[in-house]
Amino acid sequence: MLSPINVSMESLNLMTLAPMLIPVVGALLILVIDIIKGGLHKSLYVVLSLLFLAMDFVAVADSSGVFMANGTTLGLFDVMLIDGLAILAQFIIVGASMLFIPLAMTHKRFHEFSYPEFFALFLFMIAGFQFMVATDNLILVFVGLETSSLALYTLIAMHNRDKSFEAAVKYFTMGALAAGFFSFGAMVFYALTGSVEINKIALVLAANGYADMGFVLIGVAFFLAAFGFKLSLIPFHTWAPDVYEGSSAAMAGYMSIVPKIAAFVVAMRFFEFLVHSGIVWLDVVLYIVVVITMTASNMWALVQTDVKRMLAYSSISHAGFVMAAILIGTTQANAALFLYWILFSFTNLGSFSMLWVSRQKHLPDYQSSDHSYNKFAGMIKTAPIASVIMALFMLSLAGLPPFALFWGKLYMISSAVTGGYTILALIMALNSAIAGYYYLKLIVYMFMKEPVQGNDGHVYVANATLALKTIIGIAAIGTIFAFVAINPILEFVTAFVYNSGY
Amino acid sequence: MDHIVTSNPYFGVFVLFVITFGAFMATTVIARLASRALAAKDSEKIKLSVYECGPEITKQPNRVSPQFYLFALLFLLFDVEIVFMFPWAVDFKVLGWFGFAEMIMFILLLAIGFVYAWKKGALEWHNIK
Repeated sequence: MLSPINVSMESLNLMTLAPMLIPVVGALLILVIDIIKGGLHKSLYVVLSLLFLAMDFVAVADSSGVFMANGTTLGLFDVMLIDGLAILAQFIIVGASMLFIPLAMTHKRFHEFSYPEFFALFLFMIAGFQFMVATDNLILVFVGLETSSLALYTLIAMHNRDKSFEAAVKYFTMGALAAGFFSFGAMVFYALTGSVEINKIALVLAANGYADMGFVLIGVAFFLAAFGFKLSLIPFHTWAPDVYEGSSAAMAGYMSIVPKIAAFVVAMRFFEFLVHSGIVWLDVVLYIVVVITMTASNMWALVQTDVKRMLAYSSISHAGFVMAAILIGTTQANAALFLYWILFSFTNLGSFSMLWVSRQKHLPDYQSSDHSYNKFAGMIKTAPIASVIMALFMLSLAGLPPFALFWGKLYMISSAVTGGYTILALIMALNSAIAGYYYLKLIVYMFMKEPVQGNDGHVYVANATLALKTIIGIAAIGTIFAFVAINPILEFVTAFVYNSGY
Repeated sequence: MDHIVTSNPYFGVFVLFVITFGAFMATTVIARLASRALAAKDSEKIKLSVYECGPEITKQPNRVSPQFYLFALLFLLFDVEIVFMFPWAVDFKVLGWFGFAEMIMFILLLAIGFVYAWKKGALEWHNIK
């Protein structure tokens, strides 16, 4: 007879699970409230989601205190791994989600927000992303990836237009393919090393001196494809513009930030040891992917006629820009990645929220799509404040000092130079210059053209409420006054990245 | 039959597998044969022709009600629950209080899902809210 298993609660370290359990409990609570009393107004669910996200944020802040005192902690049979990367990524995930949720309080009625399931799925998705970043066990990464992705597909489809269904189905097929690639890559590495934990995989591969090089390359190729889909790196980017166009502007802005930071953290954990292992092949492939993603998506963005599609291509380009950090692989570059993404989340969420505020239900004659350039023509004459804020976000995305993303680009390029990638730094700088063109094109439309006949400027604030204005205000303040906070953020981020060994 | 083979703990599973497979095949074959034998056959030409005025109609692809998928999903939910509960019940004493708490959590989460599906009318045919 076997003796009963005794699991001591201390060894489980359940506190590592707390940040993920809070949104799960919140989501279940929302479902239960809906079962008991249906038909409640969406504002209740918005406030509940905000409340649970705030609690989540406090829990993450608490675990960051534990990290500063004791270093990396393991929990739940050593599956959970709470290190600096996990905490930084969770800060970005939960913070960006708190900025997203009030965008549901639109002036016009939209289909998706009348369902409490929207908010429940949203919270489940956040828990999935948090699981993804707070582990180095490939199985838990996969579970987190699937939880978040399946919820995200549904959230996109709930926007309930033909293009949304198209977007959701496209994203689903591509995402399913990526998940398949991910699990296949994990299988190859499990077959090679007998472990699904990234640090053990690294140890075993280093111990036998990368003897089975062919299989390592196969596994890396699968992983590169899987992360390429999630991060929309070229040539795996094809879904991105259509999906961004089909989903609501707020959702598109959210999708350009949160799923990508989660994928960046997993990619950082996985590719870091491979980049440092001296496999030339991987360096070359990553180099090519980074350069092509930056340059080609910039070229495509130049020829777009719709602002939302332009922003979609621009966010692909930004993802390629940041992917360079994983290629460079120094502590400085990895810290620059987090700094860049914190600043990018403010600016990009702000610019997509501006599109969300101007969302119409019916297109007038002069517009070929929801957010065509000529919709914004002469905006300064009819809606001066809105056009100045929009211009501010565009200048920040273009990387003009002193706005937020200038500092991100500065630290990223300087880390490339100190890391010895001078040509890459040059390409990054050139791409920032090219990107300036299409951001300034929108500014030219807004400030220098005459308004189209029949556009009285009401359209730009058609959807505005106090909640949406507040979020745009926060994003604008974060974009303008970023230079005040750059040094403390950079010190904080660098300490966290350095102390977790990346 | 050799003693070593039958004493293997998985031998029973193997036998069950074979019998299930055989039973499944037999059921489908019998059902087909029986319906072929019992059904009233009336193959008059005018009865089999398509009633339509004007153009030749094309055959509609076979439509499946989405209700079937919901039922399949709900079935899967409880199927997996039961599959998970059998080994737990066998090793109940070994797993102790920790296993008990885990299973209560598991059932509770599924129960919320079940009540949700029930209240949304997923268990009634063609009555989804």
